[in-house]
Amino acid sequence: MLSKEDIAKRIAQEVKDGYYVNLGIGIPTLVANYVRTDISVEFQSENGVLGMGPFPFEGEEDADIINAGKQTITTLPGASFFDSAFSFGMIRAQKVDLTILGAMEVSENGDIANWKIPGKMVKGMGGAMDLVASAENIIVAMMHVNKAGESKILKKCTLPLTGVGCVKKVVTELAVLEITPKGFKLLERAPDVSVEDIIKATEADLIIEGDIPEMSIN
Amino acid sequence: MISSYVGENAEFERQMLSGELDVELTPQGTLAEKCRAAQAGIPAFFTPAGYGTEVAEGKETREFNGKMHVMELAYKADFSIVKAWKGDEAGNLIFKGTARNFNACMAGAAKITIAEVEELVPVGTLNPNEIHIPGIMVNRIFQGEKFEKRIEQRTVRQK
Repeated sequence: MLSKEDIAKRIAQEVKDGYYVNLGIGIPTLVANYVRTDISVEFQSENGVLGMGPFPFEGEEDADIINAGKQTITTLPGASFFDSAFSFGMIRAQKVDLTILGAMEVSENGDIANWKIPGKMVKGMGGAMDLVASAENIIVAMMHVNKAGESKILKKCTLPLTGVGCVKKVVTELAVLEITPKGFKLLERAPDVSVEDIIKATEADLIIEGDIPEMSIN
Repeated sequence: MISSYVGENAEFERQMLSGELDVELTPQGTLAEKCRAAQAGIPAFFTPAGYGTEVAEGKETREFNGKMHVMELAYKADFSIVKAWKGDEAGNLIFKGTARNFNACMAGAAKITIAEVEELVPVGTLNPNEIHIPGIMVNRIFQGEKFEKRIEQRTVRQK
Protein backbone atom coordinates (compact mmCIF):
# COMPACT_ATOMS: atom_id res chain seq x y z
CA MET A 1 0.00 0.00 0.00
CA LEU A 2 1.33 3.44 -0.90
CA SER A 3 1.82 6.43 1.38
CA LYS A 4 0.63 9.85 0.19
CA GLU A 5 4.25 10.62 -0.77
CA ASP A 6 4.38 7.42 -2.83
CA ILE A 7 1.17 8.36 -4.66
CA ALA A 8 2.81 11.71 -5.48
CA LYS A 9 5.98 9.91 -6.63
CA ARG A 10 3.99 7.65 -8.97
CA ILE A 11 2.09 10.61 -10.45
CA ALA A 12 5.35 12.54 -10.90
CA GLN A 13 6.29 9.90 -13.48
CA GLU A 14 3.43 11.21 -15.66
CA VAL A 15 5.00 14.68 -15.85
CA LYS A 16 6.93 15.08 -19.11
CA ASP A 17 9.59 17.49 -20.36
CA GLY A 18 8.15 20.84 -21.42
CA TYR A 19 4.86 20.41 -19.56
CA TYR A 20 2.94 23.22 -17.90
CA VAL A 21 1.29 21.62 -14.87
CA ASN A 22 -1.45 22.73 -12.45
CA LEU A 23 -1.44 21.06 -9.04
CA GLY A 24 -4.39 20.98 -6.67
CA ILE A 25 -4.27 21.11 -2.88
CA GLY A 26 -3.21 18.04 -0.86
CA ILE A 27 -1.41 15.06 -2.41
CA PRO A 28 -1.11 16.86 -5.80
CA THR A 29 1.01 19.61 -4.21
CA LEU A 30 3.55 16.94 -3.18
CA VAL A 31 4.05 15.92 -6.83
CA ALA A 32 6.31 18.94 -7.43
CA ASN A 33 8.83 17.44 -4.97
CA TYR A 34 9.31 14.30 -7.06
CA VAL A 35 9.44 15.49 -10.67
CA ARG A 36 12.69 14.49 -12.40
CA THR A 37 15.26 17.25 -12.16
CA ASP A 38 16.64 16.65 -15.66
CA ILE A 39 13.43 17.84 -17.36
CA SER A 40 11.96 21.32 -17.68
CA VAL A 41 8.51 21.73 -16.14
CA GLU A 42 6.62 24.89 -15.19
CA PHE A 43 4.02 24.87 -12.45
CA GLN A 44 0.97 27.09 -12.82
CA SER A 45 -1.19 28.24 -9.95
CA GLU A 46 -4.60 29.46 -11.01
CA ASN A 47 -4.62 32.57 -8.83
CA GLY A 48 -2.09 33.97 -11.31
CA VAL A 49 1.48 32.68 -11.45
CA LEU A 50 3.53 30.52 -13.80
CA GLY A 51 6.95 29.27 -12.81
CA MET A 52 6.24 28.49 -9.17
CA GLY A 53 9.22 27.35 -7.13
CA PRO A 54 9.53 25.68 -3.72
CA PHE A 55 8.38 27.18 -0.43
CA PRO A 56 10.52 30.15 0.69
CA PHE A 57 13.20 29.87 3.34
CA GLU A 58 12.06 30.93 6.78
CA GLY A 59 12.05 34.72 7.02
CA GLU A 60 11.78 35.18 3.25
CA GLU A 61 8.00 34.72 2.97
CA ASP A 62 6.17 37.39 0.98
CA ALA A 63 2.44 37.85 1.66
CA ASP A 64 2.01 38.95 -1.98
CA ILE A 65 3.52 35.80 -3.48
CA ILE A 66 1.22 32.86 -2.77
CA ASN A 67 -0.34 29.91 -4.61
CA ALA A 68 -4.02 29.05 -5.04
CA GLY A 69 -3.92 27.22 -1.69
CA LYS A 70 -2.91 30.54 -0.07
CA GLN A 71 0.53 29.11 0.81
CA THR A 72 3.62 31.29 0.59
CA ILE A 73 5.74 30.27 -2.41
CA THR A 74 8.76 31.41 -4.41
CA THR A 75 9.14 31.94 -8.15
CA LEU A 76 11.83 30.49 -10.41
CA PRO A 77 13.73 32.36 -13.15
CA GLY A 78 11.34 32.89 -16.06
CA ALA A 79 8.26 33.13 -13.84
CA SER A 80 5.37 35.51 -14.55
CA PHE A 81 2.39 36.96 -12.72
CA PHE A 82 -1.01 37.70 -14.26
CA ASP A 83 -4.57 38.33 -13.15
CA SER A 84 -7.06 35.53 -12.47
CA ALA A 85 -9.12 36.09 -15.64
CA PHE A 86 -5.98 35.70 -17.73
CA SER A 87 -4.99 32.68 -15.66
CA PHE A 88 -8.25 30.86 -16.29
CA GLY A 89 -8.01 31.97 -19.91
CA MET A 90 -4.85 29.92 -20.35
CA ILE A 91 -6.55 27.00 -18.60
CA ARG A 92 -9.65 27.24 -20.81
CA ALA A 93 -7.49 27.58 -23.92
CA GLN A 94 -5.73 24.33 -22.93
CA LYS A 95 -2.27 25.84 -22.65
CA VAL A 96 -1.80 23.88 -19.41
CA ASP A 97 -0.80 20.31 -20.29
CA LEU A 98 -1.61 18.43 -17.12
CA THR A 99 -3.94 18.97 -14.17
CA ILE A 100 -3.54 16.91 -11.02
CA LEU A 101 -6.22 17.20 -8.36
CA GLY A 102 -7.85 15.40 -5.46
CA ALA A 103 -11.37 13.98 -5.39
CA MET A 104 -14.04 12.59 -3.10
CA GLU A 105 -15.49 10.35 -5.84
CA VAL A 106 -14.68 9.38 -9.43
CA SER A 107 -17.03 7.38 -11.64
CA GLU A 108 -16.32 4.96 -14.47
CA ASN A 109 -17.28 7.49 -17.16
CA GLY A 110 -14.77 10.01 -15.78
CA ASP A 111 -17.14 12.15 -13.70
CA ILE A 112 -15.56 13.73 -10.63
CA ALA A 113 -17.05 15.04 -7.37
CA ASN A 114 -14.85 17.02 -5.00
CA TRP A 115 -16.47 20.23 -3.85
CA LYS A 116 -19.52 19.62 -1.74
CA ILE A 117 -21.18 17.22 0.69
CA PRO A 118 -24.78 18.50 0.89
CA GLY A 119 -25.65 19.75 4.38
CA LYS A 120 -22.20 18.94 5.77
CA MET A 121 -19.32 20.47 3.91
CA VAL A 122 -19.36 23.32 1.46
CA LYS A 123 -15.97 24.80 0.79
CA GLY A 124 -16.80 25.84 -2.73
CA MET A 125 -15.40 24.62 -6.00
CA GLY A 126 -12.64 27.21 -6.33
CA GLY A 127 -10.98 26.67 -9.69
CA ALA A 128 -11.70 22.93 -9.86
CA MET A 129 -14.75 23.19 -12.15
CA ASP A 130 -12.88 25.36 -14.63
CA LEU A 131 -9.84 23.07 -14.57
CA VAL A 132 -11.72 19.81 -15.07
CA ALA A 133 -13.98 21.26 -17.78
CA SER A 134 -11.05 22.49 -19.83
CA ALA A 135 -7.95 20.40 -19.19
CA GLU A 136 -7.25 17.59 -21.65
CA ASN A 137 -5.17 15.51 -19.29
CA ILE A 138 -6.56 15.14 -15.77
CA ILE A 139 -5.09 12.82 -13.16
CA VAL A 140 -6.83 12.33 -9.83
CA ALA A 141 -4.75 11.63 -6.73
CA MET A 142 -6.79 10.24 -3.87
CA MET A 143 -7.26 7.46 -1.35
CA HIS A 144 -9.13 4.46 -2.73
CA VAL A 145 -11.74 4.39 0.04
CA ASN A 146 -13.20 7.09 2.30
CA LYS A 147 -12.92 7.28 6.09
CA ALA A 148 -15.97 5.03 6.42
CA GLY A 149 -14.20 2.40 4.32
CA GLU A 150 -16.42 2.94 1.27
CA SER A 151 -15.04 2.89 -2.26
CA LYS A 152 -14.48 6.28 -3.89
CA ILE A 153 -14.16 4.55 -7.28
CA LEU A 154 -17.79 4.21 -8.32
CA LYS A 155 -20.12 3.20 -11.13
CA LYS A 156 -21.84 6.54 -10.60
CA CYS A 157 -20.95 9.46 -8.30
CA THR A 158 -23.34 10.10 -5.41
CA LEU A 159 -22.08 13.60 -4.50
CA PRO A 160 -22.71 16.79 -6.51
CA LEU A 161 -20.45 16.72 -9.56
CA THR A 162 -17.52 19.00 -10.28
CA GLY A 163 -17.24 17.90 -13.90
CA VAL A 164 -18.49 15.24 -16.29
CA GLY A 165 -16.50 12.73 -18.33
CA CYS A 166 -13.18 14.44 -17.76
CA VAL A 167 -10.86 12.31 -15.59
CA LYS A 168 -8.29 10.24 -17.53
CA LYS A 169 -6.39 8.49 -14.78
CA VAL A 170 -6.66 7.81 -11.03
CA VAL A 171 -3.76 6.97 -8.73
CA THR A 172 -4.61 5.67 -5.25
CA GLU A 173 -2.68 3.92 -2.47
CA LEU A 174 -3.74 0.63 -4.09
CA ALA A 175 -3.75 1.06 -7.83
CA VAL A 176 -3.32 3.04 -11.05
CA LEU A 177 -6.56 3.10 -13.02
CA GLU A 178 -7.21 4.43 -16.49
CA ILE A 179 -10.66 5.60 -17.54
CA THR A 180 -11.50 4.08 -20.90
CA PRO A 181 -14.75 4.33 -22.92
CA LYS A 182 -15.64 0.95 -21.32
CA GLY A 183 -14.86 2.00 -17.75
CA PHE A 184 -12.00 1.66 -15.25
CA LYS A 185 -9.04 -0.34 -16.51
CA LEU A 186 -6.58 -1.58 -13.91
CA LEU A 187 -3.08 -0.65 -15.09
CA GLU A 188 -0.87 -1.20 -12.05
CA ARG A 189 -1.13 -2.40 -8.48
CA ALA A 190 0.75 -1.06 -5.45
CA PRO A 191 3.56 -3.19 -4.00
CA ASP A 192 2.20 -6.03 -1.85
CA VAL A 193 -1.37 -5.37 -2.99
CA SER A 194 -3.13 -8.11 -4.96
CA VAL A 195 -5.62 -7.70 -7.78
CA GLU A 196 -8.21 -9.27 -5.45
CA ASP A 197 -7.51 -6.62 -2.79
CA ILE A 198 -8.19 -3.93 -5.39
CA ILE A 199 -11.39 -5.57 -6.63
CA LYS A 200 -12.59 -5.85 -3.03
CA ALA A 201 -11.96 -2.14 -2.36
CA THR A 202 -13.64 -0.98 -5.58
CA GLU A 203 -17.37 -0.56 -6.13
CA ALA A 204 -17.06 -0.04 -9.89
CA ASP A 205 -16.27 -2.89 -12.26
CA LEU A 206 -12.64 -3.18 -13.33
CA ILE A 207 -11.28 -4.19 -16.71
CA ILE A 208 -8.40 -6.53 -15.97
CA GLU A 209 -6.31 -7.77 -18.87
CA GLY A 210 -3.47 -10.23 -18.29
CA ASP A 211 -0.98 -9.87 -15.47
CA ILE A 212 -1.17 -6.55 -13.69
CA PRO A 213 2.32 -5.18 -13.06
CA GLU A 214 3.45 -3.73 -9.76
CA MET A 215 4.02 0.05 -9.69
CA SER A 216 7.59 1.19 -9.65
CA ILE A 217 8.06 3.96 -7.13
CA ASN A 218 11.24 5.99 -6.93
CA MET B 1 -22.64 36.93 -1.36
CA ILE B 2 -21.02 35.57 -4.50
CA SER B 3 -17.87 33.58 -3.98
CA SER B 4 -15.92 30.66 -5.35
CA TYR B 5 -14.13 29.24 -2.33
CA VAL B 6 -14.95 29.79 1.32
CA GLY B 7 -13.03 26.86 2.83
CA GLU B 8 -10.99 27.46 5.97
CA ASN B 9 -13.53 30.07 7.03
CA ALA B 10 -15.52 28.11 9.60
CA GLU B 11 -17.83 31.00 10.57
CA PHE B 12 -18.71 31.66 6.94
CA GLU B 13 -19.42 27.97 6.34
CA ARG B 14 -21.65 27.87 9.43
CA GLN B 15 -23.62 30.94 8.28
CA MET B 16 -24.02 29.45 4.84
CA LEU B 17 -25.14 25.99 5.99
CA SER B 18 -27.60 27.48 8.52
CA GLY B 19 -29.06 29.74 5.83
CA GLU B 20 -28.14 33.00 7.61
CA LEU B 21 -26.17 34.02 4.56
CA ASP B 22 -27.38 33.68 0.99
CA VAL B 23 -24.38 32.42 -0.96
CA GLU B 24 -23.96 31.85 -4.66
CA LEU B 25 -20.93 29.66 -5.34
CA THR B 26 -19.38 30.21 -8.76
CA PRO B 27 -16.41 28.50 -10.40
CA GLN B 28 -13.35 30.68 -9.92
CA GLY B 29 -12.59 31.11 -13.61
CA THR B 30 -16.22 31.95 -14.33
CA LEU B 31 -16.18 34.49 -11.49
CA ALA B 32 -13.02 36.08 -12.92
CA GLU B 33 -14.50 36.15 -16.42
CA LYS B 34 -17.83 37.63 -15.19
CA CYS B 35 -15.73 40.49 -13.78
CA ARG B 36 -13.65 40.77 -16.93
CA ALA B 37 -16.81 40.79 -19.07
CA ALA B 38 -18.22 43.64 -16.97
CA GLN B 39 -14.91 45.46 -17.32
CA ALA B 40 -14.89 44.90 -21.08
CA GLY B 41 -18.56 45.66 -21.85
CA ILE B 42 -19.43 42.09 -22.83
CA PRO B 43 -22.92 41.12 -21.57
CA ALA B 44 -22.41 37.34 -21.54
CA PHE B 45 -20.08 34.55 -22.57
CA PHE B 46 -19.95 30.77 -22.86
CA THR B 47 -17.64 28.60 -20.76
CA PRO B 48 -17.39 24.81 -20.35
CA ALA B 49 -16.93 25.21 -16.57
CA GLY B 50 -19.79 23.74 -14.59
CA TYR B 51 -21.50 22.00 -17.50
CA GLY B 52 -23.36 18.93 -16.21
CA THR B 53 -23.21 20.17 -12.61
CA GLU B 54 -25.68 22.05 -10.39
CA VAL B 55 -23.90 25.30 -11.32
CA ALA B 56 -25.39 25.04 -14.83
CA GLU B 57 -28.97 24.44 -13.63
CA GLY B 58 -31.40 26.85 -15.31
CA LYS B 59 -28.73 28.32 -17.57
CA GLU B 60 -28.61 28.28 -21.35
CA THR B 61 -26.18 25.69 -22.71
CA ARG B 62 -24.78 25.38 -26.20
CA GLU B 63 -22.37 23.20 -28.11
CA PHE B 64 -19.28 24.75 -29.69
CA ASN B 65 -16.65 22.65 -31.48
CA GLY B 66 -18.16 19.44 -30.14
CA LYS B 67 -18.07 20.56 -26.50
CA MET B 68 -20.91 21.75 -24.26
CA HIS B 69 -20.75 25.25 -22.75
CA VAL B 70 -22.79 27.23 -20.23
CA MET B 71 -23.85 30.83 -20.77
CA GLU B 72 -22.78 33.15 -17.98
CA LEU B 73 -23.69 36.83 -17.58
CA ALA B 74 -21.37 39.72 -16.78
CA TYR B 75 -21.68 41.11 -13.25
CA LYS B 76 -23.56 44.37 -12.77
CA ALA B 77 -22.09 45.85 -9.62
CA ASP B 78 -22.39 49.31 -8.10
CA PHE B 79 -19.00 49.37 -6.43
CA SER B 80 -15.72 47.68 -7.09
CA ILE B 81 -13.17 47.87 -4.27
CA VAL B 82 -9.62 46.95 -5.22
CA LYS B 83 -6.19 47.07 -3.66
CA ALA B 84 -2.99 47.84 -5.58
CA TRP B 85 0.70 48.20 -4.78
CA LYS B 86 1.30 51.54 -6.46
CA GLY B 87 -1.04 54.07 -7.98
CA ASP B 88 -0.85 57.62 -9.27
CA GLU B 89 -3.23 60.55 -9.01
CA ALA B 90 -4.60 59.71 -12.47
CA GLY B 91 -5.77 56.35 -11.11
CA ASN B 92 -3.19 54.21 -12.91
CA LEU B 93 -2.50 51.02 -10.95
CA ILE B 94 0.37 48.57 -10.56
CA PHE B 95 -0.08 45.34 -8.61
CA LYS B 96 2.52 43.22 -6.88
CA GLY B 97 3.00 39.46 -7.31
CA THR B 98 -0.08 37.28 -7.04
CA ALA B 99 -2.01 40.16 -5.42
CA ARG B 100 -2.95 41.07 -8.99
CA ASN B 101 -5.42 38.10 -8.93
CA PHE B 102 -8.97 39.51 -8.77
CA ASN B 103 -7.91 43.10 -8.17
CA ALA B 104 -7.01 43.60 -11.83
CA CYS B 105 -10.23 41.84 -12.96
CA MET B 106 -12.51 43.90 -10.74
CA ALA B 107 -11.02 47.34 -11.42
CA GLY B 108 -13.57 49.00 -13.70
CA ALA B 109 -16.04 46.11 -13.42
CA ALA B 110 -18.59 48.29 -11.57
CA LYS B 111 -20.17 51.73 -11.83
CA ILE B 112 -17.67 53.13 -9.31
CA THR B 113 -14.23 51.68 -8.66
CA ILE B 114 -12.40 52.55 -5.47
CA ALA B 115 -8.71 51.73 -5.30
CA GLU B 116 -6.60 51.60 -2.16
CA VAL B 117 -2.86 51.73 -2.85
CA GLU B 118 0.20 51.18 -0.69
CA GLU B 119 1.95 54.08 -2.33
CA LEU B 120 0.22 56.99 -4.09
CA VAL B 121 2.55 58.95 -6.37
CA PRO B 122 2.15 62.11 -8.51
CA VAL B 123 1.15 61.84 -12.16
CA GLY B 124 4.16 61.15 -14.37
CA THR B 125 6.04 59.10 -11.78
CA LEU B 126 4.96 55.65 -12.98
CA ASN B 127 6.35 54.22 -16.21
CA PRO B 128 3.44 53.87 -18.70
CA ASN B 129 4.91 50.54 -19.86
CA GLU B 130 4.40 49.10 -16.41
CA ILE B 131 0.78 50.11 -15.74
CA HIS B 132 -1.48 47.09 -15.22
CA ILE B 133 -4.78 49.00 -15.05
CA PRO B 134 -5.16 52.42 -16.69
CA GLY B 135 -6.73 55.21 -14.68
CA ILE B 136 -9.87 55.29 -16.83
CA MET B 137 -11.05 52.23 -14.85
CA VAL B 138 -10.60 53.90 -11.46
CA ASN B 139 -12.92 56.55 -9.97
CA ARG B 140 -11.49 57.02 -6.46
CA ILE B 141 -7.99 56.39 -5.17
CA PHE B 142 -6.34 56.73 -1.77
CA GLN B 143 -3.22 55.61 0.03
CA GLY B 144 -3.96 53.26 2.91
CA GLU B 145 -2.54 54.13 6.29
CA LYS B 146 -1.36 50.83 7.62
CA PHE B 147 -0.57 47.63 5.77
CA GLU B 148 -0.38 44.67 8.04
CA LYS B 149 0.01 41.83 5.56
CA ARG B 150 -1.29 38.69 7.15
CA ILE B 151 -0.30 35.30 5.75
CA GLU B 152 -2.99 32.62 5.89
CA GLN B 153 -0.75 29.62 5.15
CA ARG B 154 2.85 30.33 6.11
CA THR B 155 4.74 27.55 4.34
CA VAL B 156 8.55 27.54 4.49
CA ARG B 157 11.49 25.19 3.97
CA GLN B 158 14.60 24.85 6.10
CA LYS B 159 17.93 26.26 4.97
